[in-house]
Amino acid sequence: MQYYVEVSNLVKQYGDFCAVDHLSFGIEKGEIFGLLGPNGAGKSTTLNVITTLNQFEGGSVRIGDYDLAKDKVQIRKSVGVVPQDIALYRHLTAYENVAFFASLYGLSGKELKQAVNTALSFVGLSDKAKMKPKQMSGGMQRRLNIACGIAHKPDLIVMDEPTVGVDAQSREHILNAIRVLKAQGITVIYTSHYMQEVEAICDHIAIVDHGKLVALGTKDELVSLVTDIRPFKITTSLLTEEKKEKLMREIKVMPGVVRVMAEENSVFLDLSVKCQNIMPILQIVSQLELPIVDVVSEHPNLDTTFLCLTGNELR
Amino acid sequence: MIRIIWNEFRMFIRNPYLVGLLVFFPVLFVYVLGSFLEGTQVFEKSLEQIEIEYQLDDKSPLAESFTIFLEQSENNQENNQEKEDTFHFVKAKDQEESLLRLGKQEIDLFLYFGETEVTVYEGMDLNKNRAVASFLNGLLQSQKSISSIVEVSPESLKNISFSESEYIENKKLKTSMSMFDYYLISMTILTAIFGNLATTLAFSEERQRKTIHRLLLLPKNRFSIFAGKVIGIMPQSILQIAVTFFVSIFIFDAHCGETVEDTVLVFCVLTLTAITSSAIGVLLGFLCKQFITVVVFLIDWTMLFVSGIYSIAMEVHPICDVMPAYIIKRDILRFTLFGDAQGIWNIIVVEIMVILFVLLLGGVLFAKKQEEK
Repeated sequence: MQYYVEVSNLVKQYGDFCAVDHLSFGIEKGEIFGLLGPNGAGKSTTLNVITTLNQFEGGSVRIGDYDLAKDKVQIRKSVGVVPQDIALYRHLTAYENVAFFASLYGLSGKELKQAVNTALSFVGLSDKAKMKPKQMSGGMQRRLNIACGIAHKPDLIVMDEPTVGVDAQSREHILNAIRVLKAQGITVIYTSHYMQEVEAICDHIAIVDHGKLVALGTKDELVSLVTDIRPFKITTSLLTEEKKEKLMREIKVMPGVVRVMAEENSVFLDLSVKCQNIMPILQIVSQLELPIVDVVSEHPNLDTTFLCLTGNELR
Repeated sequence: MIRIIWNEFRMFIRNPYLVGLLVFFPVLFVYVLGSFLEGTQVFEKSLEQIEIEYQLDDKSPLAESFTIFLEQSENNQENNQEKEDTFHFVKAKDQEESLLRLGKQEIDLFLYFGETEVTVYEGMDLNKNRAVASFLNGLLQSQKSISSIVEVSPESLKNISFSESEYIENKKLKTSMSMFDYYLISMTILTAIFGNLATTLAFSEERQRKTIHRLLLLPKNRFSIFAGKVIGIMPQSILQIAVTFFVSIFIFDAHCGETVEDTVLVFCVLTLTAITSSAIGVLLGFLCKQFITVVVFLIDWTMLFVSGIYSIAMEVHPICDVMPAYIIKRDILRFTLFGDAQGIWNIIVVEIMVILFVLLLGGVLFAKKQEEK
């Protein structure tokens, strides 16, 4: 399969310390790719290599038709970067900030004006074009930071924790904007420590630790790496001892049921992730004339998966 | 590169602290100190030759010591033909005749050494009167028998005017420069040198606000980015010198040359000095990540101190002879006073070479720059 971004056996060293250790992954054109890892795992170094900021000691990186080792200038033209830190000129207005960076990519005249207006509109700052960053809230500065990275219409956008320290409204706006970028066919590499964000927007996720690739796949594929059990809790009432025994006996033999347990008015189930339908189990409850008050699925999330794969120790 | 240059200038003029420090403060400083120095020219005026006629009473205890003083003074003058004494004493034949000549201002003072007192008949020039009074005080220190000095002609105290053009003519100077004009040059050099304090921040501010990452990721030759930063400071250096210069000339009536061409040449060399200093500041700010502004500030102050920018009396030879600030000031004054332009052209050539060196070295290092670990 031909990937749009292809990282093969990437090695980056700082003296004796190997920050990226034979890392390999591929990103398809137009997908949102999540790069996760604890602090110091090698995420930022990998991104710095991809964006041409750092040189590397081994392996190769291809973006589109270009080899990073040979075509740096071409790659820089097609990559937009939204850095983790807010990188803006405080004495320039929002419009001037975006226009300055876009102009350095060769845009000028009407094309520049249009690109700046589009970028500001995209991040919801059209009406704040004349404001300076110091007059803006943290969320607005974050959005302006994104506008500066995307105004020149790159094919690949690298976003390094773009939602740090923003409120829920701004975060939602940023995530929606990233979805729009994907819809436009733009490839996005996204890093964040907020797993819910990554779960919500990323098509594929790579987890790196100590410079190495620990896991790669869709969210469900990653979850299945650490567990194949999905716990459920069915809350009912009027559960007598007789009905309890009958209920457990009948549910236990259902396909996909790993474990069943009843306590007071609750039935606890461990189902295999392969079990895609819990309706037959609910029908058994119903046939015993027990009311179904609540059904809760405690689906293992990316947070759990991430901790399982990278450990609990502090970095 | 033009975008970067424009951006640098735009950020400078929108930064009220920098504009205040580098543009308005020097103008204010030139005006305030220049105004102070206008008054100090009075003391230079008093150094001209003073014509004094005197008469000695035979019973005066000063007669003998004053005669010895005059003999020594004559001997000194014979040994050193070129040097002229400030005081020129002539023995008066008739007191009334001398006082008549004093009234016509043909002589500056008349002294009568009496038995117990010295009578000083003052002339119309306050400074000459003061100079003679000081001289007499010195002479009388060992003469306890003289109880007082009587000053006559108090109306002379009313006249304290002096003519600056007369002074310049007497000194055979090329231009009609005042101390204010000299101070304008010194202060403009100071402004030009201190311009590097602001430019040391050029890259450290880029680092601080992380915009340097965006610059490093541009699909451009990094040499041109560095050159853009250095060239970007030129408009602000020109503005900085131009405002100080033109406000001083057009508002405070200062002069920096005999002709317009001379003034333009002085302006050019001062502007080039500001650009060179600022370019060095950019390079140092790029090379050193911490404390560079403080270090440059200390270097600037030390250099300016031993270069005698503030006080010619504080010059420390031969250290100051090799200090750029001193050399620039010396050669500009040589040009403005005596029309000797050789030094100025040498400075211009050296400064252009320094700017090119900064561009080359900084450009090469910036091109190799990677993200900090």
